[in-house]
Amino acid sequence: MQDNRNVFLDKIIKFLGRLKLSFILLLFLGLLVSQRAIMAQRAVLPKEGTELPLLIRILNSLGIFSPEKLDYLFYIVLALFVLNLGFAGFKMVRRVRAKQRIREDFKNEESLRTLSNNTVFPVRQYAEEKVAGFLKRNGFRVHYETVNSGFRLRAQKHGTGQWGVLLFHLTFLILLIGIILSITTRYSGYAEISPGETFIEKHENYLKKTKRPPLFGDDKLFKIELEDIDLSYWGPGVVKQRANIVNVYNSDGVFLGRKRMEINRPLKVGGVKIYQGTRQGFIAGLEITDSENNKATGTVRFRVPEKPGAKMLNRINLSGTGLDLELELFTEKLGEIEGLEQLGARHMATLLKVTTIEGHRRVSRGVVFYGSALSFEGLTVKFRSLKPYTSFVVVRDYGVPVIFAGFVFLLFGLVVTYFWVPENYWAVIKKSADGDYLVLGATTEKYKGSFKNRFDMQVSELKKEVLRS
Amino acid sequence: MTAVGFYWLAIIGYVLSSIAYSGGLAFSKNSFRKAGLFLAITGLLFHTVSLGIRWSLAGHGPYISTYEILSSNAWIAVLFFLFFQWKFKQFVNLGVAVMPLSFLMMGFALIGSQEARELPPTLQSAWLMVHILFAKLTVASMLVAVAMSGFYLLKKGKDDTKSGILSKVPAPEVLDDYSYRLIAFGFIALTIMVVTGAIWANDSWGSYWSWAPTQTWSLVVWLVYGIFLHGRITFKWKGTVSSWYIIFAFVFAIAAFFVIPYFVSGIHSAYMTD
Repeated sequence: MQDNRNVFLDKIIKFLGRLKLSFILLLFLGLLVSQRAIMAQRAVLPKEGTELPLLIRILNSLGIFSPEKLDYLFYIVLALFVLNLGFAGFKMVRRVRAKQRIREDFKNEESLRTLSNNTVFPVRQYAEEKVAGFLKRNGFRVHYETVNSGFRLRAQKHGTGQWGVLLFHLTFLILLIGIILSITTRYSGYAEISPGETFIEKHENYLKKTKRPPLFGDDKLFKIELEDIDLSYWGPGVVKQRANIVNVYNSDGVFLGRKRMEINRPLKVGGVKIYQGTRQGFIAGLEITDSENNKATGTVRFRVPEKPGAKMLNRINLSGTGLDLELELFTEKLGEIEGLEQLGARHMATLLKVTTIEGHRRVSRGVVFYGSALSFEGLTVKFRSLKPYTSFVVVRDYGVPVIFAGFVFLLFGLVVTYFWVPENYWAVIKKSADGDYLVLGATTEKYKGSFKNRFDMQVSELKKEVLRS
Repeated sequence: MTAVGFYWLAIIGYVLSSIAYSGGLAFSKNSFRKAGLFLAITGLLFHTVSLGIRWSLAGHGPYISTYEILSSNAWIAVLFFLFFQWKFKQFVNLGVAVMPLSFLMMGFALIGSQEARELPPTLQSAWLMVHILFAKLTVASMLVAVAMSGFYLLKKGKDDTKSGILSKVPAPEVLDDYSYRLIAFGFIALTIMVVTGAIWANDSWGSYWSWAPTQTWSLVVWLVYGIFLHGRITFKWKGTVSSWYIIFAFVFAIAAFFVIPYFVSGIHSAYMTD
């Protein structure tokens, strides 16, 4: 019974560790990722004025409409792939060791003559040292011995290369650990802040956030006080840099330093990264009063124009009135931003241009200056305040360093596998009635076509040193 | 002299080099090949000066706009070819394909706007250069592998002793071998490109992978070439199967690097279409 179980387990291990299985799984993975790629490109619209080319249209027509259903299949294939890599790894260790034993054995004349690269030629007396020296000069580790049957030599170059495939496969396991860590610890939140304000790192303080992760999702409670916004443009619509100057305090209120966060240079506080956001602009404070003296206060955000000629527009809905208010902000503060000086001519004062929208009917209601009010149809809109704002994104993901370490190993494994290819030489020098002769044979793991040329070249070089005329 | 002046001198160098390499192949004259090499190096020097001037004027490397991208593609193709020729002398005749392709690319680049554009903050990263360099190396090595596979398919089964252009090309098994090496090199370059892209994305917006179209298609290309390398080991693919696969796989690379970014909006497309 026990034996039967062991045989069964052995069969499973053999099946799951088969290279053919990993090939099939890789193929499936390729198809599933292609499907994701198609769905990703369907989600974005073609640029204005362009029509999608035939290739993209054909690809899009291949994409099925419920990619989320394929997620399960994707994860199953991924899990099987990793399992396969693990078992294949075990098999590889055994195979590499077996090959190593073969390489570390001396060969006799008969077996040398069966190698795909072999040659026999007469050599001078005492050529043994010269043959060994020649191979050493060419980067080989050489071992030799003299026995009754004559001189035997084995030489190896790039021996560690045989472990490359194993290393390369094992890196997928590191990547998998990184991905699992990433999924279980990833948490991000988006926040907006004005100069002088302080943000405390707490789940409820974010404007938008992901769910708390199962691991390490606790509030860090560090504080970020915004000192200044440093926004600059190459010209209208072309951003030069977005930066926030902040004072950072830890959860106990200890000052950690005055720092600058900008695009591509996130801050790191207590294992959490804080990224500069791409939204900057102004927050207008409004007070709206109706004919029955009901007051409502609120804020409206206006982003700094991101395209040349774009306006700072926003729209609010006045509930219960069926009216939408379209507000366009003008402010001289825009012209104070580096690179946007030329916009100062259009933005000479701080005011809001007000338009009402009722169904398809748009009516311009005039402008309201900062600190003043505008009345129309029983409504009074008061422009109470204006302050700049900026944004940042807080991300924690403890899987990232593991994933990137996995990438480094992956690259190392690939380089070793493909460009540190083991080469083995064996030689035998025998004595005959006509004098000594050398039998030389060689093998390599990869690139056998060009190795044959290299072998021939090495043989002709060696002949110059030891050939008996 | 301006960047454009040196650019034109480079084009002239490449055109003359193409003629010389073609002469070398047609008439089996080494002197023609040597002239081809000299003219390619001279053209490359002019091209380097042109790119250098442009770099210093624009304040960033040649990777924004079609003009800069194609010009730097041609530069890296010639550099890659010269390195390859220096290392593996038997491939000298590849100049017949590489040099004309390079000057045609440079001519095509002139159709786009030559105006230097400023770098947006997301692209102001040292990772950008590494990412782009390896993207170019990926395409360059895979393109040369495609050329070798094409020569393999043409040469396979033909009598090597007969005269003719194909007799100047290395033996089929050597072509097969080097195309395999180039794909392995290209695969490593592609991996570095994907990895540096992920690191850069993580630095820029805190997410190393977002399943964006170009990003996902790069992964598809990675898997397509990964399947090839796997097939070489598992099923001992070589010769005809291997050559056809390399040509087939290149279609995916072209789609991912040149078609998708042009027609699907995203970080990779915003600066490529002008």
